[in-house]
Amino acid sequence: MKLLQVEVEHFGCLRRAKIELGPGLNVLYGPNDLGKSTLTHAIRAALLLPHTSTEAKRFTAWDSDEDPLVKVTFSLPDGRFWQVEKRFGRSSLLRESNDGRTFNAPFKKGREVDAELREKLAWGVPSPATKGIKRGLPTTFLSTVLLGEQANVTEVLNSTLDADTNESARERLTAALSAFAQDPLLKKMLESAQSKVDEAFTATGRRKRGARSPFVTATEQVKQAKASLELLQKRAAESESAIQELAEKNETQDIHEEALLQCRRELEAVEHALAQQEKRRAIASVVTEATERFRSAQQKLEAFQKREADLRDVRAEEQTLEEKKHAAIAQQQQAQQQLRVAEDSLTRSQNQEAEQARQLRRGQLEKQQLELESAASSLAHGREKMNRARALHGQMRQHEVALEQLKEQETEANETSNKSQLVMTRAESALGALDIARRVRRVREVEAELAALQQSKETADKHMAAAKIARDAEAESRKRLRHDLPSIEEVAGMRELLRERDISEARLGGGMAVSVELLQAVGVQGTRDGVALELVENGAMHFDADRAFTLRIGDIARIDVKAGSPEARQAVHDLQERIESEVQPTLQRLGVDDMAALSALVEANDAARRECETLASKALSLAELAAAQYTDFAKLSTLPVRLTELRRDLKDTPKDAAEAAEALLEQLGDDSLEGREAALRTQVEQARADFDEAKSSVHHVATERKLLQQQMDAANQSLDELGVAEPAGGWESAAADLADQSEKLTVQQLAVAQQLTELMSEQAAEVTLLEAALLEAKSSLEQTGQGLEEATRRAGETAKKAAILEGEVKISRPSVEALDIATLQSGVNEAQTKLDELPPALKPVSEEDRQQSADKRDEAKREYEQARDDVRKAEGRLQTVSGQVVVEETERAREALTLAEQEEREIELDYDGWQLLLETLRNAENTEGQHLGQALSLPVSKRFAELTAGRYSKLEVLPGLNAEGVRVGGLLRGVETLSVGTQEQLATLLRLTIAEHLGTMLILDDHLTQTDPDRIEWFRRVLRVHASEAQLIIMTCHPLDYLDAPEMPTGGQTVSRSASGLIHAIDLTELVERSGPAVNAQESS
Amino acid sequence: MREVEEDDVALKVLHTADWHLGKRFVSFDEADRRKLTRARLEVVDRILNAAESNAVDLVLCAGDLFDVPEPEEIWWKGLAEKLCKRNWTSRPLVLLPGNHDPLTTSSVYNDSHPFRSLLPDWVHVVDCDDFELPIGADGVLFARPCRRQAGESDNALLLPKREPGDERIRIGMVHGSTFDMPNYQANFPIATDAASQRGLNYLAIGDTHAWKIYPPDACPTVYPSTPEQTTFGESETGSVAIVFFRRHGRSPKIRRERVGQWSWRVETITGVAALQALMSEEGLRQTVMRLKFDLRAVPAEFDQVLRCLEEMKGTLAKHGRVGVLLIDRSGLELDTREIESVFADMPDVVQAAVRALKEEEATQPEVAQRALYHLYQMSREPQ
Repeated sequence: MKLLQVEVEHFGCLRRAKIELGPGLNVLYGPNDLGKSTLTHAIRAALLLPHTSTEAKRFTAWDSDEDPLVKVTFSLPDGRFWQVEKRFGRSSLLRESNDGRTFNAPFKKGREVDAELREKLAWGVPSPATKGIKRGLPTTFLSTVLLGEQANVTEVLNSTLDADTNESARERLTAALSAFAQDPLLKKMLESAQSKVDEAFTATGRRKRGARSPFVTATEQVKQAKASLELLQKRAAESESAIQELAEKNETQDIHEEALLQCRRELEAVEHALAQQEKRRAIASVVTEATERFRSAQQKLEAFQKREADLRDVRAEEQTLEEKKHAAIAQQQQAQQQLRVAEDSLTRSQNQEAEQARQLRRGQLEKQQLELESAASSLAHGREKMNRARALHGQMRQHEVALEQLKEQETEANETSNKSQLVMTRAESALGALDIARRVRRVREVEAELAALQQSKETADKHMAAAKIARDAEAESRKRLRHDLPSIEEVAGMRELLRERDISEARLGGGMAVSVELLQAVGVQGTRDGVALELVENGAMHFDADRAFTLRIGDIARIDVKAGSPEARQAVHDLQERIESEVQPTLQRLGVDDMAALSALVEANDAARRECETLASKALSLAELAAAQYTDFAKLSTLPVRLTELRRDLKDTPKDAAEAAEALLEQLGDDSLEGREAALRTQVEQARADFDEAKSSVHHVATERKLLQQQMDAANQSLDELGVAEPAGGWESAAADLADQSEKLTVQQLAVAQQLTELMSEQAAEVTLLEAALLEAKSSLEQTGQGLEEATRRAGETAKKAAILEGEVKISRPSVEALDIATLQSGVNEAQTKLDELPPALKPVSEEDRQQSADKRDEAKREYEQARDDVRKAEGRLQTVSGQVVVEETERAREALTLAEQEEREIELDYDGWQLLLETLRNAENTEGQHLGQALSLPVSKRFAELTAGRYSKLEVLPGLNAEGVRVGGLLRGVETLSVGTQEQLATLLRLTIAEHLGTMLILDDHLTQTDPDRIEWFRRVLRVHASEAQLIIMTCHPLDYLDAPEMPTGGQTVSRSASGLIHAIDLTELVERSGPAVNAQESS
Repeated sequence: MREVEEDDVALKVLHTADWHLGKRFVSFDEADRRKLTRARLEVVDRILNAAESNAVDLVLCAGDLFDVPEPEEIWWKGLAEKLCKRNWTSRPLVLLPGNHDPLTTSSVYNDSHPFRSLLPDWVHVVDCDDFELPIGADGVLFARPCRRQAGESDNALLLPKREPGDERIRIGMVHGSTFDMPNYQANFPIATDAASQRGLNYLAIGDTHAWKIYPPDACPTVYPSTPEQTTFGESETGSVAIVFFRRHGRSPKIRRERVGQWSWRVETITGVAALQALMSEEGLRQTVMRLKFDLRAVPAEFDQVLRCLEEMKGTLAKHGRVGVLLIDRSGLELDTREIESVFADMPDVVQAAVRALKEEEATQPEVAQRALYHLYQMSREPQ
């Protein structure tokens, strides 16, 4: 974008101003308070602020009631010219022009102007129609950078793309700063995916629900299928219900029918049982009476037979009891005899002689026991003495061995001490030699450094000379550059216009077959698709045409036929007109025939420009290289002095020591001295430690030996006191003998104790046995007496019972013999046979039972009839439903729903896939886009380092393009830590770089107020280079900071243009009419 | 080939049923619906041709001739036109209302319906419960219509019983489900021995769409099948029965004659080669095919599958190889396991997107795979 003209009326302090701007560097200068900043405000307001905004009130003219007016004319990269005219509070107009001079009727009016402008600028400013947009002057990253107000350094450095609500600026910067998004494949993919997503989703990512949404048809089909299925399912349910109901009613009817039959059967059974029951009752009565008579006779007979049997039993018992009585008498006599024998035996065992014999035997055994105990005690004492003597002898042997070992240790420690002392002495000597070697090496290093520096200086001088040559070459090349050529983008725009024209012409293609039959001789000629046809004078002519043909038939007629729709033809016409107005003048102006020639011209010029840049870059890098080398040359003066000092130090060193040091350096090399010294120092330390340890060890061994000797003397004394010499057979044999003797004594003691215990038990058992035999004899006698008494009593009772039974038998015998049992038995059998011949007895029933069964049958009959009616009703209902038909239809509808749902799912999946893909591609792109900061950082850092002579190595720029900080010695420091001047310089560099990459204009309003003259000079060069790439508008009151004196307007002129047309110096004092008193132009200069 | 000698034949009958004219194939798209619905009317011509070529004496149409009681005009008019084209003065054709097209006051069979007025004289509609049609001197047809879409009465058992001394060939015609069919209870159940109970030589029935003959041979009960299959999963379809009634009361002979043209198939594809082989089969133009997949295809295979499907299904500009194709893609998956290699030569940003989508597969596999497929497709398009 380039500003061509700015016109202001009644805008704040400006009453009127009209300024023409050039394509390169525009230095607009004038004194303070002239209205330069107001001019910047006016441009900003024209481009960004809706004319209806209340914020425009602050632009109200100071001395007029007129509405503020701003008219800005600008061109865009597509080669079109636009003019925005805003009369704040009243109107907005946007006009278009092909030449920047003649503007057509308004292209947009009113609110549409800002929407159109914001779209064309692509500065990230959302359309005014966007919901939730902040009212007033919009602020975005690019609006801040390109149109930043005076002294808004911090704002520029902190401004970030992330705050933009519209992505246009990010996209534009991404396109400009990196090639990521420009990859044609990715671009195409993004467009395709976006197109698909747009078909189905709203801008907020929600699914479209409008008539043209791809989801709608599928969803509608699913909805219809569902509705249809639900309807059918309802009908099927009704049908199923009717069928089910009928089945249930049929089942109920069957149950009731069965119940009715059962009730009928039960009633018949009850009535039958009643009749049978009456008959059985009569016969059973006869059986009962006969049975009663038979049973009575049988009881009498059985009672008599029992008495006879009882009598026989009593007689037998009487005989048995008599025999038992005699046996008891014999037993009593035998018991009395046994009692007497037992009393005699006990008397004999309890007399005095027997007691004395038992005591004598016990005394002998107790004496033998005491003798054995005494012998055992004596043997134990002897064993204890021998064990003590044996232990003392063992200690003596151990002490003797330890003493020998201590002597050996003492000898060894003395040897170690001597060796360590020797090692220490040798290592300290080697360390002295090393010190000399190190000093020799230092001398050599300083000599080498001095030589290298001298060589570097020569190289730096060569680099500086080469840089000067490159700069001269660059200047020469720049003189040859042409500035009247269109840019590559403009050429591309022209080519695109031609291509569109070609495509539009191709769209006209209609595929016409033309046949002309000449009815008389006449010359026919013409063209088809712009190619001439052969002249025909007779017969017929046939040809195919694609887009158009013309025929001239003698002088009779001229036929001009064009294919394609009117719209297509109009499009071709419009494009052709645009080509003639936009392309042809350029070709004519430059004197080239076609676009190829124009492209070649532009590309050649572009190549020359790139060559200039290469030369400039080369010159810069050579100069930088040389400058970096010069910084170290201060050492050239100090190094010789240092060398002299080092050599003097070595002067007093003995010759042999110096030679040894040289040899050592040769042997070890320069880098191994420190390693060798460390190793020697470690060796000395180790040897000293070994020596100290050995001395300590000798002292310790001596102390140990003394203590051991004392212990041996004490042991010898104890042995003498014990008086036990080592046995001839050895300690082991003697101990075994004593143990054997002790074991034998113990066995004897145990045998004697056992004998004593057994004797005392035998004597006590003998007396106890005799006393028990006496008690038993007494008991036996008593029992036999009782048995005799019982036998006598029972024999008497039995005789009495036998006499009673014998009397009763005699009385009953006549009546029993008169009974006829067989006859009675026969009567019973006959009656029972009659009863058995009746059918088996049923359960007892009554008249009440019969009545109940009858009632039950009537109830079952009623229920059955009710069920039959229900079945008929269910049948009627079934006939009103669709039965199997609806089941089949339901099945089909279910299948249709499944398919519709599958289709819907498929569509959803397809578009969800597109949405995810688009999102993922965008994220991937954005991830790459996060390097935008890095992309911007590179050129800015390069310039910043150049400006600050390498003090700041790198500017870190965040993905949102806000400055994070600068690298100083590898550390990141916030930009706020820089000086105010450096901050404004950094902000200016950032703005310049962005404007360069975008190829758009940049307005700098007093941007370097805190910058020193040297850096101003540096900027002056940079800005002039920038001006060859993009338009730069500087508002300043110090024009000579940017211009050479000859470039200033003279002779009453207000504007001067450089020969190349790139530099415009504009004196605002004459061009700006300020409200209030005028400012003296002389003062400003 | 003739099963019986002409001299031995007392009566020849063509028995058909279940035409389901006007049936709507809701699972198919509009063009396929049209094809399948038209096929149902077209088969009527082949049935009538079969009647002529076999020189039958009688044509029995045993119900469900229309899919609904009140079909659209195109169907009943179409049928009437086809019948009117025949000049069958001595060959009666009897139309029986079934459960799909029952005889009601507004149905197509009602005496007041315009369909009836279009029918030639030799076409009879069973529009009363005691329908009886003498067939020459030796035969008689008894028929009873369905008056509703559901019912539990056995219309066959309501036909007149053979009276003693009646030596005629007695043919019965009703519509319903025999007792071995599912849900027969409410679908006009027919006892499998109804023919012998009522003394019929042949019981012509319709309802189920498969060919079926119930014994005994002396008095068979026959389903002739639907002449054109109506859905997937049906078997033994596409035919009519030609019945030869022999003299002297001997059992009739039955011949099955094919009249249907469309075959219905369900195929499950497990590999690209199988799909290509299927596509190259002959005779697919008269096939209704449901294509399922059990296939996980790598991108190149996936492309091939889609190309095959397009060729089989056809486009607006080109007929497909398959007459009617129903595609169920639920079992067709894109195998993305090695998909990164496909994008190896693509710009880094595209490869980054592929990696991100692969990660996304963990949370929304189907969508991520579809996105990968879109990306793959775009990468294949000419630049």
